Amino acid sequence: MPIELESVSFAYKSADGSEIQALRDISIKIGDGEFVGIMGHTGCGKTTLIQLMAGLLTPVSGSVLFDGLDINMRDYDRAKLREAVSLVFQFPEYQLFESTVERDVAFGLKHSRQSRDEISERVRWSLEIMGFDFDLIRKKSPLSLSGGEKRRVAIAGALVTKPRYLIFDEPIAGLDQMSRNAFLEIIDELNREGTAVVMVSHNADAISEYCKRVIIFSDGELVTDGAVKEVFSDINKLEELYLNAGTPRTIGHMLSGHGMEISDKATSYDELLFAIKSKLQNVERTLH
Amino acid sequence: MLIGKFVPINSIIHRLDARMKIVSLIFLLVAVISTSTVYGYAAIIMVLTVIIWLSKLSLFAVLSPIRRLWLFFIVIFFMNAFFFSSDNPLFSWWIISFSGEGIRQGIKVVFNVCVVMILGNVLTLSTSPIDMTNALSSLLTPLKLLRVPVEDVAMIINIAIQFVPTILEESNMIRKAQTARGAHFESRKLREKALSFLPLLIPIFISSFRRADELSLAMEARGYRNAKRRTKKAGVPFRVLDVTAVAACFVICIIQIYI
Amino acid sequence: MEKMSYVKCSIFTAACIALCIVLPMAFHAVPMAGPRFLPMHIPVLLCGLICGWPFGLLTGLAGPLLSSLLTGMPPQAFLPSMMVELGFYGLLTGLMMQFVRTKKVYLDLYISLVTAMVIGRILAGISRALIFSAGEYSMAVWTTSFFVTALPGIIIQIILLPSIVFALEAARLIPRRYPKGLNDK
Repeated sequence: MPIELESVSFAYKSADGSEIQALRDISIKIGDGEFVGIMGHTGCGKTTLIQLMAGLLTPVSGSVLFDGLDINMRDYDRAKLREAVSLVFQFPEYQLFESTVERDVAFGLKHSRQSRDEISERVRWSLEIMGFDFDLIRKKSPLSLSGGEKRRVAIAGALVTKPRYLIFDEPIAGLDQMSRNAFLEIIDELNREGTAVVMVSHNADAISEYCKRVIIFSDGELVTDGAVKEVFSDINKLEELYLNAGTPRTIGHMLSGHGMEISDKATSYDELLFAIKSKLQNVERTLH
Repeated sequence: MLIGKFVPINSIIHRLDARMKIVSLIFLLVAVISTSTVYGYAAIIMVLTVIIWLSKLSLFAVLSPIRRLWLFFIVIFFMNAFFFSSDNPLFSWWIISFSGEGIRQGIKVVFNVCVVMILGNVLTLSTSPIDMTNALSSLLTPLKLLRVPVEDVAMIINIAIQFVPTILEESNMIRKAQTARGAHFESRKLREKALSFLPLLIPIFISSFRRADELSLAMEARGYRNAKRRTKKAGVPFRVLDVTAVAACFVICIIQIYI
Repeated sequence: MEKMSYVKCSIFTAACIALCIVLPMAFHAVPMAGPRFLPMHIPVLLCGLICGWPFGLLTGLAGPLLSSLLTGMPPQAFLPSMMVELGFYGLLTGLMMQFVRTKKVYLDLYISLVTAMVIGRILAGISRALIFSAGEYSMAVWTTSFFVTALPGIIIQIILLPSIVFALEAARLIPRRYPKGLNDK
């Protein structure tokens, strides 16, 4: 039951009435339980893409299918899509508005036909996942929390419908190292429990560490779509696109350039360390 | 949507001083309102034609507000035609009365509104927003005698104009974000309808006020108190063209009042 | 209430004026927002409530004026009467908040809002009949239509504005009217 884009194109109308092509003929299929990273430069169409996936924009041509149904058809039940696909915008903390945290998180369930107890249980569940003590936080005003807490509350609000697809736009921008890691661990855990995660990010390290698949955009076109390992091992292609391959892979590449051959498959810290260690052991062996 | 309605082309109307354009507009408005004869209307239409011709603007652009509001014109026409109290109505029922005078009144009101709209539209199409604010603040200078801090007002208006694009973009983002969270705006009940706007209004107000708060802190940190005592660009002198235009409009106005 | 500085009030006023231009555009995209929702009234009333009468008055005059110049809405023909109406709202909410002090924030807000909106409509109606009304249809028709069509607008504003004020207080963007303890929350 995947999200499918079939040769989707999208154009914005600029102020003077001319059209600006944002996406050209994109076909992607994202299946249940995947963990996909989307990379590309500012203005390459990443944000447009995820808004199309969530049904917030309508493609100029092509179609967006969810569970095999075209979400832009007149008779499509959007409420179902909203429950199954949660889109978390960049700086989601700016969307909080309710008088208490509990009510704000429950907003996504307002139109579902669940009982009060069920809703309360869901809210407790999603706030606890985001690392809050439900009873301490529930009655506070979300607007008076600190920046980091606000973002976590906003994400809890996206989790509350138990979506099958979670789409994040730059979720770790502006977070400190500790909150960044905590956040990535949480979504990794959700992914292991079966939620598909799509993450738009400039942060190559986060993508190479957590995602299984990566899609790269450039100027509104899809240039690469493949397993993280393969995409990041081809560092020359990434450099052509002025993109970063993540710290471990970059170090490995630099070492190779200095005569210490490191396999281009070493895209994580563990693999890099292992490769260096075996090289050093080889050196030691030849010395003895 | 219509931000930047200003069409930058080179015409006599575009080159006129913005202050003089506003003053001329006011004279012409008085002329339109005080017109009552058929000849007067003919004269107004002639003046309007000359102005549009001089401005080199496309007729389509000039008339576009009227096109968009045709329904409204029908409504005000009938409002006037039906509710005009007359001594010899063609027929009347309850508060509704239908008469020849009423129809004439309706036509007059619709005509006036159309002319005012066209004139105002020519003004905004031919004047850049910056010239417009400068012109307004310099026309407001006499208010200083009433102890109105005109410089501060001009500063506030300038900042407001700079806020518009960012706040508009943020509002659109917030609307999308709340839609993604499942916000509905379709409720029929008044109270629920009002409440359904809160997910939009509160974040929009908070994000604009946060922006304003940051700016005011930065200004205070740099010792800003108020706009007084800042050096200001010397006023641009009026040219013959500007004076002629205002004089012409003034004459038209006087003639229309006394005919 | 701890007072906001002159500079802060000025910039908040600029934000409210900008919102007078943005809100009608933003709500244009929302289906069923309808003309009765009166989006431009909200920033004007809010500015009067939190910044005081001079700033409220300025927002009420400059908001519609700039909106008309930049977006063509409202059309220039209705601009003067709309400026008078909104100017009254900004002025009256500011004055009411200065004189009404019941020690309960929401009560102050409700009293100020209702008074300002009712008196503002009466004064605007009178001035419209005296100066702007081009047609000479009777005052009675004017007033009834004024209140009948305006009632939903009044109710919507009474529901919305206190919530916005409380949200701004919670976000610590504006000072609390009554320091904590006296506050009912």
